This record gives sequence, C-alpha cells and structure tokens, in this order.
Amino acid sequence: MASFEQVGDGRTTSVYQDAVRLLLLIDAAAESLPDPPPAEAPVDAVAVLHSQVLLQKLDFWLRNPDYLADELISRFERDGNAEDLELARDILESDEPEVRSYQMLRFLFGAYEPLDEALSVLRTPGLVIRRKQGSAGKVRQHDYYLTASGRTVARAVVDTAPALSYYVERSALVADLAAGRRGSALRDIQYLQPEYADAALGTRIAGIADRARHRLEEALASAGSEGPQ
Amino acid sequence: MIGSTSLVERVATGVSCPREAVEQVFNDFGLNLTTSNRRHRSLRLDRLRLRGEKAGEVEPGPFDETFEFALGVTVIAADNFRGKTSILEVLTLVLRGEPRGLQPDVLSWLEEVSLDVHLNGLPIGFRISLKASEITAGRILAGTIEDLEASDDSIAGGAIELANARGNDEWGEQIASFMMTQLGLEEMQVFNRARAEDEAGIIKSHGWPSYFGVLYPPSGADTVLLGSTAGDQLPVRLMQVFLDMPEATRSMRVRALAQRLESEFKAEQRRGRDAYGAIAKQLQDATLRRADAEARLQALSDQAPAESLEELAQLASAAGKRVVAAGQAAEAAAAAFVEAQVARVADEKALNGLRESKAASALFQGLDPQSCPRCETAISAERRSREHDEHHCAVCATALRIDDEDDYAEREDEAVHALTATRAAEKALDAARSKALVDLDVAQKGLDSIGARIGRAQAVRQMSERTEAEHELLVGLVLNSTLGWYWADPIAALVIAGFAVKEGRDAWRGDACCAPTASAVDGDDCTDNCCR
Repeated sequence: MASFEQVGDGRTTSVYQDAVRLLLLIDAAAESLPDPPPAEAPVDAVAVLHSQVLLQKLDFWLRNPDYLADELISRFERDGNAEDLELARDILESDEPEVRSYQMLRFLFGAYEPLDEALSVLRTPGLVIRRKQGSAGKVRQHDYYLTASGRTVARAVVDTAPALSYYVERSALVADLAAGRRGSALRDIQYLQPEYADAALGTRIAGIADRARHRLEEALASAGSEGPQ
Repeated sequence: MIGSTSLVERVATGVSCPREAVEQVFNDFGLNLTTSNRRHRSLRLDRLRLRGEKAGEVEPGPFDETFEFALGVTVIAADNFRGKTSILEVLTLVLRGEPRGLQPDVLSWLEEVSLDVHLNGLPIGFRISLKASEITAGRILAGTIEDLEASDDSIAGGAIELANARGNDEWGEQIASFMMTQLGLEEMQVFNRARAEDEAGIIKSHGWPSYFGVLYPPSGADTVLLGSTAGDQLPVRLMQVFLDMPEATRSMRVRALAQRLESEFKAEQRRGRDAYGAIAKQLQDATLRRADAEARLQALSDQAPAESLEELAQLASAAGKRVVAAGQAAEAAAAAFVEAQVARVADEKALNGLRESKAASALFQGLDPQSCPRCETAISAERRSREHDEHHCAVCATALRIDDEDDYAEREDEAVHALTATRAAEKALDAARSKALVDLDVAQKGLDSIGARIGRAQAVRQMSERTEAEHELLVGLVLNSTLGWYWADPIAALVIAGFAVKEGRDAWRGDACCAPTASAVDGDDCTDNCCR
C-alpha cells in the first residue's frame, strides 16, 4: 500500500467536510445537560462536549483509520471482544487507512486543526454553539453545546446525505472508544505511538498503517491459536 | 666314503640341486653318511660277586657269594625261592644300567656287586655299591682278569678305571654309553604318529636298554621273540641290527626323519588349509566387494555422464544474467504498480472529498441561517428572504454564485474518469507485476537447477574418484591375500628327505649302489658306476 506521505500534503478536506465530522462527533460524544441546565448553556442546548482538546483527539481518530484500528486492537487485547478485532481487520485489510486518512498537524497539545471556520458553518444555522470558559484574554476551556436542531440534523445525515454515512458510523465508534474519557487521557493514549509523539511541531503526524497491519496479523494468529473464546 | 659321496650325488641329481645343498640338509638333520665299521660283538660272563645283608626270617644275615662262569653253557639249578632268577636280574641291573625284574627286597639286601666279563675279548669289570636299594657309586674297570679280581673294593694291580658314576641315573647313562660304543651300536629311531590331528608326530629313540633285551631273551611263554617289547617294531629292528644289515640304524633314522618331516608338513598343511579357508573367505568377500564397486562405478558412468563443468558454468552465467534482468523488470513493475496505486488512492480520495464536500455543503446550505457566526446576532427574516429572492447571502450580503451545480457535476465527472483510469492502470500494473514475479521465479529456478547440475556433476566426479580408489584398494587386498602362501616353506626339505629315504631303501635292497656289499668292492659288479 502507498504510504501517507505519497497521498499528498496541504489541505485535503473542505470546511463542510470538517463541519460534518465535528457535528457528528459532538452528537456522538457530548454529555447530556443536567436538569436544570447550567446558566451559561444556550437556551436550546441539549448536550455539551467539554474542551477543544477532546474534540481534536476524537477528530484525530476519525481522520486516521490506522490509529483507530490500532486502538481497537489494543482494546481487543485488553477486553477480548472479538468484534473489535473484526472491525480492525475490516479497516486494515482494506485500503481505508490510505483512502480515508486526512493527516493532522502536530501542535503543542497533540493533533490540531483550526476549527473556527468549520464551527462557524455549524454556528450559523444554530447547530452547535461554542462557549468559552475563563476571561477574554485567557480562555481556560471551550465547551461545545449541541442544540436540539443540531441533534436533529446530525441524526438525519444518514438519510439526507448518504455520501456522509461513513462518518456517522465511524464517529459513533470513536465516541465508544473514547468511553467518556477526557481529552488529555486520549492524548496520552495517542502519544504512545512514536509517529505521533515524535512528530515535530507544525508537521503532519505520520501514519502507522504498516505497523498496525503487522500487529493485526499477530493478534489474529494469537486469537486463532487460542481458538474461540 | 665312495658310497657316501655317490649317495650325495645321486640325491643331488634326483632333486636337481647342488650337492652342497644336499650335504647342508644332511648336516641340518644330523645325518652322518660315514659307514660305521661292522665289528664282532661278544659278551662273556666271568665272575659275579654279591655282598650284602639278608633280611627276613629265612637265613638272615650278611652274605658274600661269588659265582664263576666258565666257557660254554652255565646251568643254575636250585629249588624254588633260592635266588636263581635273582642272579639273572642282578646281572641285568649291572649290565643294563637299571633293574628290570629284580625283587625289591633282594635289591634292598645288596651292598656291593662285582661283575667281570670279557667284552669283545677284553676283560672289563663292573663295580657298584648300593645302599637302601640305590646305587651310590659305580665304576667300569679294565685290566687283566687277575687285576680285576683283586679290585672288588679298590683298584688294584694294573687295573684302570674307564668310567665312574654316582647314583642310579648316572650309572644308567655311563653303562649305556660304554656298551653302545664297545658294541658298535647306534640308537634306533622310530617315528611315532601324533595323537592330535594338528600336531606333528615325534621321533622316539631306543638305546642300550632296548638292545639289552636281545642279551636276555624272553621266556618261552612270551610272544615277543626278540628284545623285551613288541612296540615300535623293535624285534624286527633288533634283528636287522644284529643281522648286520647295512645302514640299518641309519635307514631307520632317515625314515623316521622323513616321517617326522612329512608329519610336520601335513600338520602345517592342515593349519595352512584352515588359514587358507579364512583367506579364501576374505578373498571371496573382497571379490564380492570389488564386483560391487565395479558395478557401482559402471552404474555411475552409465547414468551420469558427468556434465562438463565449463559448459555448466557458461549456462550458469547466462542464467544469472536472466535472473538479474528479471529481477530488474520485477522491481520496475513493482515500482510502477506502487505509483499507480498511489495515484489511484489520490484519485479516490479526491472523488470522496468532492462528493463529501458536495453532500455536506448541500446539507448546510439547505438550512436557514440563524445567527451571525461572528457576533451571534440573529439573522433577520428580511435578510433570509433577500437571500432566497435575490441570491444575496443572508449573513454577509455577498451575491451568491449560481453556476456551482454545473461546476460540481463537471468536476465530479472528471474525478470519476480519473479514478477509472488510475484503477485500470493499477490493475494492469498489478498483473504486470505478478507476471514479472513469475518470470523472476522461473529465471531463479533455472539458475538453481544449473546450480544443482553443477553440484551433481561435482558429486559424480568425486564419487567416481572415490569408487576408483576403493576399487584399487580392493584389488590390492585380493592380491595380498592370494600371495600369502607362507606355509609352503618346508616343501624343499621334504623333497630332499624323500629322496634320501628312497636312496637308503634302494641301498638296503642292494639294487642301488654296490658299495656296501663285499663283492662290489672289487668294482666289477658295479652297475651304476658309483664305485669308480
């Protein structure tokens, strides 16, 4: 398979693609608002996803199927759920890691992509509203509130835009993998990959498809020799 | 001596070897060819004196008796148990050198025995002293009858001592040697067969005690006519000696020697046969192995006419070049395939991006703008209707482009075409890559097979060399085994001995050399010129 370097540099996604991924990720991973909702929550908000770091890390898995598959293998090895291995196999035995990958830049807190533009696409029709915690000069955290219309649009994507169904499915898997952990926890997991941790600031984080495929073979051989659980 | 010389020459002629060799053989086996002088042999008893002390109940006490033997026949007459036989047995004890039938108690009574005789006409005295049945001293004396008579206890007058002995054995040796010399007798040698198969027989010598049997004839009831035993055909041999048959003892000696040699030869032959059996087995094994080695050699040269290494090297060089070329082609094909794959992935990605962007764009464009993304001010109904009616953006009032739809369709069409093309290229290059790999495999196998042929050619060569070496080794072994006839050495001696025996017999029968007969001395009757 061709390596990531050969797939091309520069911006490879449009702002609408970015907006769709973010909407689907927020819908899948956001926590429901407590009752009564906090004061800073917009009026029609239904759920919230805390921190930009978390959103970036979720997006990293969505944009890099090889890292996603590698994490599925890890979870299989930890929990022994054969479905995880099957999912990893589906990804790695196809050319999905090459065709579907949109590499991200390495920044101070890990993978990073400027989100403002895509978020404005979501803000204008009132699907996702961003609120900043902290003072104007020193933002502590971004909270992404999903509105009722945002949820409606997100849940209707499979029907209204079948071309985007891949992201619907994958964002649910990513949210499941994250399992409610904080962004920093996901970053720590992603940092375990040398390609991720060793990438220079401002450069693209290289893929790990070859290594993940090798790992899959070993996991399959090991699972085969142990027989059905 | 004429006869002897003639005999050596005749033997030499008979066995076709120089007379020196014949003489050497005679020397080696102690055969003296000088003819012994025949002599007159006579022994006449003169006086026997016995001294000692009788034990027992009948007339015990010291005794000193002298018996004189006059010329002619002496008759000893007395009642039973008076000692008639004892006189004869004491004579035997002295003259034979060892007792034969003397009663042990009589022997134990004896202390001094004196015996005077005329041996070949000369007076000879024998004196023995005994103690407890053992001879303690013995002497042989010569002198006049009178001197001898005076010398019973110590040498007197003109008597001289010819020999003396201490003890039974020494007396036996001295008397035997003396009597044999005086009577001109030689030991009779007889060959005795071996008891065991693989042993040679032995030569037994009969000396003075055997001859003495002639002096003391057996009783009338005895089946032995002459001598004291019928063993070893002694009666006949004794008769031959005393009838003065020429070379009687020498003939016996040669015959015994010949029999002994023959027996040694046969024993050696038996051992040789056994050894030969082992050698024959070895030979057979070696022959079989040689045949096997030859067969293998033949099979090798039949089946694998070893290929020329030079030609194979050339083939290998050509095959190597083919492998390199195929390897380069495979590498190029693989590189081209990867390139096509990269292009196809890029095209696929582009088409995905286009379609997803379009879908996402359509999704969001279809929604009414609610607020300004910048200041979050709500978009008014007026602005929304203006966008709908006049195609001005409800947020920033910029005029909206309407040719987006056609533009997108065109771009998608292009992307689809591009992807179709790169997919086809990828597929074609994949096939080309597979074919190149097959070609490389074929070329590699060709090279490998030439390598194997080189290996076989070398192996065949080495195998042939080794088999040839083994073959040589086996041939050498066979020859060594075949030539190991070490046991044939005694044959020459036997041939010579055989001739000696034959010549001895011829001489005995008188149909050979005339030398021994009196009439032939004149030379007129000599038929074979051996006497001249």
